[in-house]
Amino acid sequence: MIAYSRGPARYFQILPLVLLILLLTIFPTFFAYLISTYQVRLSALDEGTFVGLSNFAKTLSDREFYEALWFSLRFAVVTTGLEMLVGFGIALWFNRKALPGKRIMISLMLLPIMVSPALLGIMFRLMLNSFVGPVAYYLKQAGFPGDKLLTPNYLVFTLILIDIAQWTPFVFLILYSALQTVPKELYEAASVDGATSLQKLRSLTIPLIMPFILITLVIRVIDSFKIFDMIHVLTGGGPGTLTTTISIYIYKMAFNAGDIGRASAASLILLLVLSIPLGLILTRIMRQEAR
Amino acid sequence: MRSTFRQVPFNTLAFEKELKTVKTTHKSLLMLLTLVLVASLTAVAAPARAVTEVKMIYWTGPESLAMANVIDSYNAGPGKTDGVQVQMVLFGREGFWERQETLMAAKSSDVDVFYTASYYVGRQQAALDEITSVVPKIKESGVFIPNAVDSLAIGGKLYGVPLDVSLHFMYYRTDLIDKLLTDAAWQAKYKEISKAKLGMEMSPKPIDQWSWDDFKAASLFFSKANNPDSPTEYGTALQAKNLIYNVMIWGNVLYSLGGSWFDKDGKPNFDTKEFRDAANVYADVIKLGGSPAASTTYEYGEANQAFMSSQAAFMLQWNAAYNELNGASSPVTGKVGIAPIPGPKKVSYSHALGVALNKNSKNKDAAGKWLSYLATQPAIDIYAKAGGLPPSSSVLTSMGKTRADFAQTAVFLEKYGYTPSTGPDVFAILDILAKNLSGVWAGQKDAASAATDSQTSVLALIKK
Repeated sequence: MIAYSRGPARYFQILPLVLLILLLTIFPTFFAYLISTYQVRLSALDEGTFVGLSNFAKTLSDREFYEALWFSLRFAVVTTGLEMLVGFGIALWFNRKALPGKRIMISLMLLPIMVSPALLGIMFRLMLNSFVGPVAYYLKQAGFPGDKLLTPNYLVFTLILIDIAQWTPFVFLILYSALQTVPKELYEAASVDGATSLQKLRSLTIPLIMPFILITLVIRVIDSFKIFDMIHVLTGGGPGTLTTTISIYIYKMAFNAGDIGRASAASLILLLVLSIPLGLILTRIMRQEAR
Repeated sequence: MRSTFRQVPFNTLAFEKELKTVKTTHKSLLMLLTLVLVASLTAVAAPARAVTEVKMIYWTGPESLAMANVIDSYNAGPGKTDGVQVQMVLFGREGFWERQETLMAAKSSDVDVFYTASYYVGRQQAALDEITSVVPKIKESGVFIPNAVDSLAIGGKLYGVPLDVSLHFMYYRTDLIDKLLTDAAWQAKYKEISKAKLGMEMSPKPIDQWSWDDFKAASLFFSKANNPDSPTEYGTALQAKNLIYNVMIWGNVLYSLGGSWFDKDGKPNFDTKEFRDAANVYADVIKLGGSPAASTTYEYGEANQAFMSSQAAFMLQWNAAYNELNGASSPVTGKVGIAPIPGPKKVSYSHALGVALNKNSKNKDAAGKWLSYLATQPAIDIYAKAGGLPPSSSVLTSMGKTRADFAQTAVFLEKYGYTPSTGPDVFAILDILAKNLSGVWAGQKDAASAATDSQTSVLALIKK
């Protein structure tokens, strides 16, 4: 029998992973800190001027930065809230004992999350096109304003719907898997005690799968807050700044305005803004698990 | 010597079996390593290739399809003499400039020739070598229209070989506009709608004489919201998405009304009556139903779809659309006309797309030979025949007999063509205008605010 190593060999074994993390995470982060203190263009990184905290000051005094942040926050709260509700509802429904064609239905449900968000944006741009889009056409035939879904009055609503369509299956997948871990005997015991379905849900199901709910919530909040691809393809962040998310704001600052220094500053401010609440949530999750 | 392994009791037989396996594995690994070493030594010892490979970035689309023909021809012919073989590296159009710019930022030598454009060359300048000595007398050669060559020059120094020219037409349905000019009932209705919606009774005019009021009146006449008997759903399909390429199209409205990006002293010139009037042309057409309300998400593709599905009677669009609009498979083939952009002053925004030499290339001599070839008539002829749109008088004129858009491109470029700027801030200025103007067109702000905001933002940008 060969025993495991305790000597210096173990450090060599984790060295490739450490190098990868340094290269792809640590170095870019510190480079971002450095670049954020320069006024510099992407195409001429070695011709920048040191400006200290000026980029941070300009970003924090930019009304559009706050508008983008506010839009991202509202978008994240609404989409995540609805996805959690709908995803959990579908997971509960699938968790019923007898459901014909369950496996096929689950496979079909998961299709949207396999499509890249940018591609999904292009698909919906075509499907909702008032001239040639089939979805727009049939909605209009059914009496709904199908040809208006991309107008300014309906645009945000449409973006929310598309995001829900794509990511609800993700929530379903996680929570459905979590529901499988709950022992059936607990429900039987609760039934014997005369508990109603609602009481079982509130007192058994939700507490037992709460860590999964919280993790899913955190992941979806982060993802929907930093959404970029789908909105950029569909609206370009417009009209005006109506659908400009914080990611689109940073992207345009970096690549359209060409100010990579300010874009880095905005990214770091965003990191700070997100890390505080997310840190608190993760701490709570870990405390709950420790209990 | 201290062992790195913790000592534990073990089964002797099992250990010996495992040791034998390890020894066999070591032998196999040693043999494999030897083979790899021999193979690489052989590769190193092999004679060096006589041909230099030049890598060129291009974006996907009709331009790259055309360029593939030029490359094939060069590689099979002059390339052999030059000792150069060219390979095209394709990047998708979405996010193209950003991806290329990251290569430039990394000072990459993986690519020898970059793609450039009049509106981007100023920003790329630091990563490019000027090519005046590579293609001397390019303007005098007569291969290219001089305006197009100048649009890739900065401070008198040439940075790119122009291979495509993009400008704007007004495409229209010839059958519908002809009927409008001859049908008395239509003309009566036209007068009624223009009086009711625009406050002035107007009569239809030949399309090449249109003012912006005629544009508005016709867009309302051809919209079902204003004229239930209209043969099309909308008069036009404006490209009003928050997108810099859409601002290039709108820029024609500004310049045709006498406006400009910069005044004669070179200062930003956006807080003007011309800017406000130009912004309101689009805003009025959308508000009155001449163009869909969803126009604020439209760009090139949507406008083409509207026109080809007979849901728009005319539109402002890039010259490259002609093939698609009037192609054999188009539902409106044979009914597509080309007219100048309306307005008191006839203008057409134009820019050149071309190729430039990477400052960090390790194959500059070879890349230079390739660029020299591209600046010759034979190369340009092949490019044009394969679907490219080079800014070459002889090509555009000779092919104009079979391609109406080519003939009109030559005329428009020479008579009406303008480029707002080739400075390093063009992209940033377009982004500012796209944001402010799309807000006007969506009804979020008025033209006066957009003009002031644009002026303030551009001033701040230039001061940086």
